[in-house]
Amino acid sequence: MSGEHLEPGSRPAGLRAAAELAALVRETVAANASREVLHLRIGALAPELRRPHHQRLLRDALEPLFAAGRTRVFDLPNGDVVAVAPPPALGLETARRALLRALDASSAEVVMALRLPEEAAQLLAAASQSLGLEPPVTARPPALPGTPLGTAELVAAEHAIGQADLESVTLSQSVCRLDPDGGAARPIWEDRRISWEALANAVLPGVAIAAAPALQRRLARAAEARMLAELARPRAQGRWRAVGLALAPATLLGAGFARFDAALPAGRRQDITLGLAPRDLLADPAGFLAARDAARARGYRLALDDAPIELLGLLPPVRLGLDVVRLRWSPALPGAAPALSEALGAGEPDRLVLAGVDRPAAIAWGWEVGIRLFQGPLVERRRES
Amino acid sequence: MPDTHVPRPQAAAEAPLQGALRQALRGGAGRVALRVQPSLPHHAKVARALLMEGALAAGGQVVEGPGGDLLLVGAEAARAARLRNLLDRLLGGAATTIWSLDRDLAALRAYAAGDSEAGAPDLAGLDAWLTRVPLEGLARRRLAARLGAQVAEPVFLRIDIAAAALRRRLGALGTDADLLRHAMQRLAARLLQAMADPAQARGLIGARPAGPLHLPVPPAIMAPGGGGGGATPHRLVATLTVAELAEPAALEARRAALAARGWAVELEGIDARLLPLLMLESLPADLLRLEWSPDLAGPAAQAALRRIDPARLVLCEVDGPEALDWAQGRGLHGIEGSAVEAALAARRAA
Repeated sequence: MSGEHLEPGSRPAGLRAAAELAALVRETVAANASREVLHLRIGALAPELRRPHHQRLLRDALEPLFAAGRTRVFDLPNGDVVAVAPPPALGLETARRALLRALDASSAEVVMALRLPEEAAQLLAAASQSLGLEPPVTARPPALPGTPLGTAELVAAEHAIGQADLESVTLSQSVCRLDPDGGAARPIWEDRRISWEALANAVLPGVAIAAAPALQRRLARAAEARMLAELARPRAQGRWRAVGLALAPATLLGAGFARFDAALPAGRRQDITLGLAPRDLLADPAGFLAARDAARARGYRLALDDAPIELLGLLPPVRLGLDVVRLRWSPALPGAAPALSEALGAGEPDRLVLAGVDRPAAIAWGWEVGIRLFQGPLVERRRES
Repeated sequence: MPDTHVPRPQAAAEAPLQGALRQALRGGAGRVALRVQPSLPHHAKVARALLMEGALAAGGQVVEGPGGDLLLVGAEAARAARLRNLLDRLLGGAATTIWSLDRDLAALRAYAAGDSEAGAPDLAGLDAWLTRVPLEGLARRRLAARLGAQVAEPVFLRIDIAAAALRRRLGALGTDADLLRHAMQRLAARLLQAMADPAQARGLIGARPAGPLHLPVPPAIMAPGGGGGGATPHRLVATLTVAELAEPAALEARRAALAARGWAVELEGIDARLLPLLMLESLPADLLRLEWSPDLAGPAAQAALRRIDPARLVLCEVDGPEALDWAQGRGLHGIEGSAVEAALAARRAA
């Protein structure tokens, strides 16, 4: 009832309890042994229920367990108590009922019955949480919105990408031909790229990946290599259509791309448009040129990816040795310098794509300057099915 | 207490790593050193407690290593391995290293001696390492000079992060260009912070020459107010990477904001390969920092250079006579590099 029961005697307490609990869970899982677990989450109690006399009440309910021979009890550093016993663990069940009687209904979730080995992960998380550590990577709590990507998150994300199915974080849109004289949008190729927003939601909730461009480039290598591996599968090759792939230069020069390239049937490379981003080009001109020349030599088509119009006057596409420019739509475009519009419509409608088309005004402007290839949510809706 | 043959630690007192290592080597075979790289302060607390507790069973001493690492030196191998598993589990990932005192002694000695390669961070701990690694030895102070008939008076002072030194300190991670760039930017942010503190700034700047100060300003960071502005020549120059040009509108906005705080803007990262691709004369910057290489003499680079006022160009990597020859008579704003430093030192001595 009193002090000496609150003071752990021979029972492990504090850090050692957490460590021993973690060890017990691992051993149980390794041996595939069955155990019943009772977890009293003092930490989850409402503050007004955490007063000493409440705690004493709860401890009293646990009292019979402390004496039971086959039950191991752990006093975790945050005040939680975990009891583990082999089934049938009648003592645990009795204690659980006693605890529930001592609590009001709204606090019932403070008492949890778990099973090993099935719920080992949850119990390990409890052990590490009791030490003030965050839960393991699999149960990563969402970061505060806008937290910049850091290297610790990068490791977790690279690990997750290695196992995830990337289909759900790949953004696919058709690049369609739209002519002013009407008719449905005719798909010319399918643009596939990693959706950073979807990827962040899947593996790094709340993290602003773009806030750390250099780390984003490294993450892109891992994600793009997976995307290429999925594209190279026979199933994907069976229902083949022309694609555009946005890739980092380092991906193009990597082993993953070499495997993808080796698996392609003859004649397919000309149906593949590889998009290189201006930021990557500027950050590493040597890498860009090496990637461009290697891809060109193998027969791929090349695109400048996602270029804002102001960039074209500073980094003229004609100097880059690429086949296509993917121009980024913005409502400011119609007001942009007429000289730029003229430069764009140099009579080569197959070399320009207006991307991010979300309103009719974008298409109208594109037609005006001679653009015939469009991509974006509005185009998706107008596509012939 | 189990296993009484294991020597008890001396009240778990902290001893310097070298001493602990010497003592551990006097013990029997089958001992190891377990190293933990805690990335967060509360991880360090937990790791220390677990190591102390581990020392009771496995023997050995808990000591601090370079860069905030914690080590249990001289522990019995099997117990240390179990402790390591637990630490990896609790700290979320591979935050640990084990060296056998029988087999890995050379590596451990190199680490204890503060050898940079051995003390290099791992990827998960990189950001934490970047917040605590001392800027001394990584921050570089460099004078740029005007070039007349020969290297003339200093024209500005540059303080930045030395890429080569950082690459060495990063060990294996330094070979990844993206990680190196990330590390440069994180340290540049710290450098900028340090420069805002007069005491630290004095240490980094040293004797301040008359000219302006060039500092790297990483993306998404706004430089502190520099005063000045208006008709007076800029005393502060923000060096931005040319990759920011990918979003010209954002770069223009940043340039305007920096100008309002009294900073001029310099774009760096322009080499002989990039030069012919750019409309050099239209770039939104006051100064362009050009990296010297023999390819600058090629026709494509020459054609690009003819279109810009040379007084907007800073030439860096001027490390030898070839680069000096190339720069001669071009009317550049300034040149920098080890050859320039040497010539300036010779002038001072004369």
